[in-house]
Amino acid sequence: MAESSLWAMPIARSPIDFDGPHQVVDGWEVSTRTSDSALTIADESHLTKVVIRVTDGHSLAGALPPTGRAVRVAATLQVGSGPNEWYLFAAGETPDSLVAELEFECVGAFASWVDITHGRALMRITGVDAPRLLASHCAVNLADSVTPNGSAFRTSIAGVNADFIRDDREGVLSYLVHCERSSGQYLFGVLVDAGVEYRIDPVGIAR
Amino acid sequence: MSPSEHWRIERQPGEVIDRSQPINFTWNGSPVTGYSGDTIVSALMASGVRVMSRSFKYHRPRGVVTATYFDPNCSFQVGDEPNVRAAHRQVREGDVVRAQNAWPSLSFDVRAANQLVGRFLGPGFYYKTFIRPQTLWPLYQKVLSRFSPGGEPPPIGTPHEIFDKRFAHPDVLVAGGGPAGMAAALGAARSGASVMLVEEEYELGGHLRYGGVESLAALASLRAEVASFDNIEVLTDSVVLGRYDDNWVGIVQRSGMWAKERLIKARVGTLVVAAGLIERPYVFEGNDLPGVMLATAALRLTGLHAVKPGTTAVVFTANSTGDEAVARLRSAGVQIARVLDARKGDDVVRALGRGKVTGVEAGDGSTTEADLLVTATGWTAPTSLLNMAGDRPIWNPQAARFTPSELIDIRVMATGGIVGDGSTAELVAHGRAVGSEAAARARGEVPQSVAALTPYPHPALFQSTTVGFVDFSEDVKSKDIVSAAREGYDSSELAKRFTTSGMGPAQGKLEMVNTMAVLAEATDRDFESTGTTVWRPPYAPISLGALAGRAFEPERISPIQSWHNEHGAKNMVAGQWIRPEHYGNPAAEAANVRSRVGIIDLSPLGKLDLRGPDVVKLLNLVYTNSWDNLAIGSVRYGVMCAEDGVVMDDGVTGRLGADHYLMTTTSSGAGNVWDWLEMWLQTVHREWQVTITPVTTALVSINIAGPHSRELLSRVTDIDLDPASFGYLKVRTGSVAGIDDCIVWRIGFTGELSFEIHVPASYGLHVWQALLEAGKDLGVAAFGVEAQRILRLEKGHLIVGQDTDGLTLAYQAGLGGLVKLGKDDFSGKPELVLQEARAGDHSHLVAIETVDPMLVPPEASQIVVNGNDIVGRVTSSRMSPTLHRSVCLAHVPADLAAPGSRLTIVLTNGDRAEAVVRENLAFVDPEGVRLRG
Amino acid sequence: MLLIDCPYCGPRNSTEFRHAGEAGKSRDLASATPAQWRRYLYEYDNPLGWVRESWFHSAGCRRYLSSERHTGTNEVRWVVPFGTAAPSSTTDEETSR
Repeated sequence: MAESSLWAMPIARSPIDFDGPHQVVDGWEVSTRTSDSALTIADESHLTKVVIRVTDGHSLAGALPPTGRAVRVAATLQVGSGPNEWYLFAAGETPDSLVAELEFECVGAFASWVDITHGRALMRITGVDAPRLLASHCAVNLADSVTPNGSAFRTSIAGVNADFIRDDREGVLSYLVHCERSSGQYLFGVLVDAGVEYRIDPVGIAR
Repeated sequence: MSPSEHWRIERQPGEVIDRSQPINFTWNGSPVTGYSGDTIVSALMASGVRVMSRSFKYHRPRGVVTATYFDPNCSFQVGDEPNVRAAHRQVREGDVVRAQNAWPSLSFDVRAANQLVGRFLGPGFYYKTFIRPQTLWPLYQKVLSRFSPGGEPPPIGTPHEIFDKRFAHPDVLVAGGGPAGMAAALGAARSGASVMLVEEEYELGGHLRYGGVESLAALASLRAEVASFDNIEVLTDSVVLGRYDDNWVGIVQRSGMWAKERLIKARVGTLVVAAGLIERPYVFEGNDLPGVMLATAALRLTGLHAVKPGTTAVVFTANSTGDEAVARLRSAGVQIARVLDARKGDDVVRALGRGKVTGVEAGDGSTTEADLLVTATGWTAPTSLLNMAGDRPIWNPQAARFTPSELIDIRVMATGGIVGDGSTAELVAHGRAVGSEAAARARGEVPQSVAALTPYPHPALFQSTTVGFVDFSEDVKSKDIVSAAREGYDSSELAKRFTTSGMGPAQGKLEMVNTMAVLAEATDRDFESTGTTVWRPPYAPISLGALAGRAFEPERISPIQSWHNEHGAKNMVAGQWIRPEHYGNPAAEAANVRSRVGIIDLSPLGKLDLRGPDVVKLLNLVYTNSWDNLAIGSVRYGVMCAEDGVVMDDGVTGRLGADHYLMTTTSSGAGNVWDWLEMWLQTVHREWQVTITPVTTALVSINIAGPHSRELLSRVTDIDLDPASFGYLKVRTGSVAGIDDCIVWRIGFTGELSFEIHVPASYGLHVWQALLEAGKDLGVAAFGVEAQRILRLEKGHLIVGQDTDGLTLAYQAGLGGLVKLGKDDFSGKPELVLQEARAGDHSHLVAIETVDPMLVPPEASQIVVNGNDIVGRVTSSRMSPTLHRSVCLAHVPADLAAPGSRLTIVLTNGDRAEAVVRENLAFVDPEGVRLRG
Repeated sequence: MLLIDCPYCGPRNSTEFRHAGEAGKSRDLASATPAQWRRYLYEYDNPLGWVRESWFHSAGCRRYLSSERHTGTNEVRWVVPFGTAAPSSTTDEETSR
């Protein structure tokens, strides 16, 4: 095997073509664009992402949040994304470190985890108008009484299946939108288009 | 004095015009000035215009009838927007307004001659006339479209406006913003419900808006109260279109936002229908002359727009609204020449005049000169939304209108005029009670009944002793309904369709009750036994733009797509994926693979990560072949059949660890296969311990194919590629171009030595570029989907969905060798057992060679015997750059499947071509030497 | 549009689901005659009244579900995870609403 300068320092790229300026953080090209808009959309596809699946009766189900709930444990967002299914999201971690504390062995049941860091797009929409923007495409009720902070649900939006996680930031409404990678650019475009009415503006990753 | 000042009266207490804001627009090219708040029609009336359109069939001059959205005579072309409801639409500065259905002009319409031949345009005219011969249909279409009343759509290429869409989830939705509707919203909001209040007009208020000072005072206080609730969302110039299963309600919002129109899809807790009442026209001779209008139209024009609709009026009244119109017109300076009171037995027999009303003949034979005839003869309850919720309103003979029967769905309630009558205070009290109960039902409480609102008695008045128009927009007269009944169309639904009465834009709101009354009389029945037609969605016309909403088409792109675009890729759409079909010369791309090395982006390839102790059981169940002995580090090709034995999908699955497999599927089948595997695991073998994770887009798949592929890959990987240790159908993991955890396996779809690598997707572009850089001296080049199709066809590899269809069984696709009937169970086994016994009867997939080697028959060309009997088809066909001749796959019947059989193919131009069945599916390297190299 | 109360996701529009057929058909490999097998593959009862059927919540939890629906009114009486015992409702003609 020959060495080449081409692959001395591989850079991971998000599926979303996002406004710059860019810089490389933890091996990912990320935007550091700033915005003072009241409604922003950020690309968080660079987060380390793991999906955990178990079969019925597995003890992990008691250690992780129930379906439809998301909780922060230290720097990790644990998401009950479906029956016997969870996502873990965190910045700058390896997939192994994300799951290191979890007990996968269980008599009579099976559990697996798969690194989906590179397989999914992750966006964050923040601002008081975020529910109105999302309601232009999302048929699920985004009222506080139905989907309060810490809710997680999967639905179809603009023809693409996506997970929504209500994860407010300092009291401001904020939603993570998670979909498979190849649809990320399309869904980003759909959300930005629907957000024109609310003056949506892309914002980079604060460091 | 300008013409406008002549018809504009002094300031009215409820007027909605802003006299400090003149609005200039044009009407058929002439300048007109109105005021902000005017509708197009009120501004025209104020400037003295009386003829608004020509009628549909007879091209009779027509004027204002209802002065509402549903006015049958006031659809205009505004700019490039056709069919604008001009008695509703507020006029805007610079509007270019034209009449529709008038040629060459509104005042002189040559087609008015249709009136003279009116007897040929009777009911069923179109059904009876434009039928034979069929060859003339295109001509008929041309003739009819010139005579049709619609406006002109914008020319193709006009930039489209934004049509928005949104979802909503109100606890209570109130359809109608009159006094009862406003009160219902208040009653619901007071108990904490989220409320959406939808009003068709530009302002809340309903009939209070054009009522007297007491009505206006009540309105002001209701509006203020509504405004004080944050939990009431008011939508004006909006209309509820329909109610569907489980209170799914469509609403179109027509103005007041950034988009032109917005379709709201609401899932509603309780729907409160407060649609009010629609005034009914009276049927008599001349009832369509400009100058004949409804009492509510006169009240609207005077009260809202301060427009005097005439100089001298006759009012025919049967109710308090008619009486109110008398008083209002008088105070507006209109001379009341006569009041005919239906309650005292008076009647109107005919309106006199040509092109406009000049006089009125009463039932007593006397004639009165007038330029305005106002009628107030009764009400129609627009119960559409209740019908859509399953209600069948019943005819109330005392009130002479339909009222709701028993609302069978507790999630739908009604209030206001649609239910009964009362003073403003009584209507508001009922509305509040209904709103409060609606909120309770939305919370899931046990339904309580609400005290009824009873309708006032009203004389049953529909038609005079003369013949008049029942449907203005469709030009249907009362005698047309009588003759339809005589022809046997005596059921209400049949009479409606045969005469088209009630099938125009108002969809029966003005016409239905009169149609039924005429039909009842013609067939000597009462109202109940005549029956009514069913109201269906939409309640009001909706633009196609609003239904289409935002334009979006999901598309999926590979992480390498930017490189493809920069290097001349001609893209194609495959499923939702954007893929490079080729980079300019697919034949050269294919040739480069055969002679040197090529790389192709296979990112859309479906990939499922399978883990667990029971994966092999699942594989044995879903594939037709056996998976018992697949060693770690090996891959195998498999075919999936549905339970009916039809080939469903195919692909390679590799064993990466003891309990860890990577399954690949066709690009288009990835989603279905995943659902299907879950079906087996969740519904049939719930005890199996298997987890499935879709990783299609987590891994970028790149196929390196060609005689130099091993050399190329060896330059960028730490995996040992020695054929002795990494043979055909083996899989290894390692680093590629510095990226760890890549999966590499040896398969041969192209028929060449090839390595398929699966790389973490974020590094896909990096690895792609590294391969091109590292292989420059080897002649590496990208190849697209078309080159791959050529290569696989030369090798005789089938594509599921191309060389098979929804009926192709495994045996017919030449895949019998992959069906292991000895297995205990697999999907499709019972059917395949039955089919195996009949294998001799099936069609077969074969490779064929055209006798003329340069002839490439189009795919889907038919294979025939005995002249024209179709027995088979060509499924794949290409010119082979390797063999310099055409290569094809085809389905042929068993008796033509033997090698050497001669076939006749029908070409597109009808010519016949001869072809011969080959021994082997593979044209290139049938022994598989290349791919095993 | 039909609203289906998914036991995992809550009430969702039916467009999120794929209808997965009438319940109660048994895939009997061992003893099915060819005629019975064809009936299993292609024939549906499709009665007017209450039917038990399966749905796949493809855009949501991705679980197969069992439900009982009235084919006349489209009322869905209950939805449970596939394989869970049906609630103690009857399958007679009475409506619950």
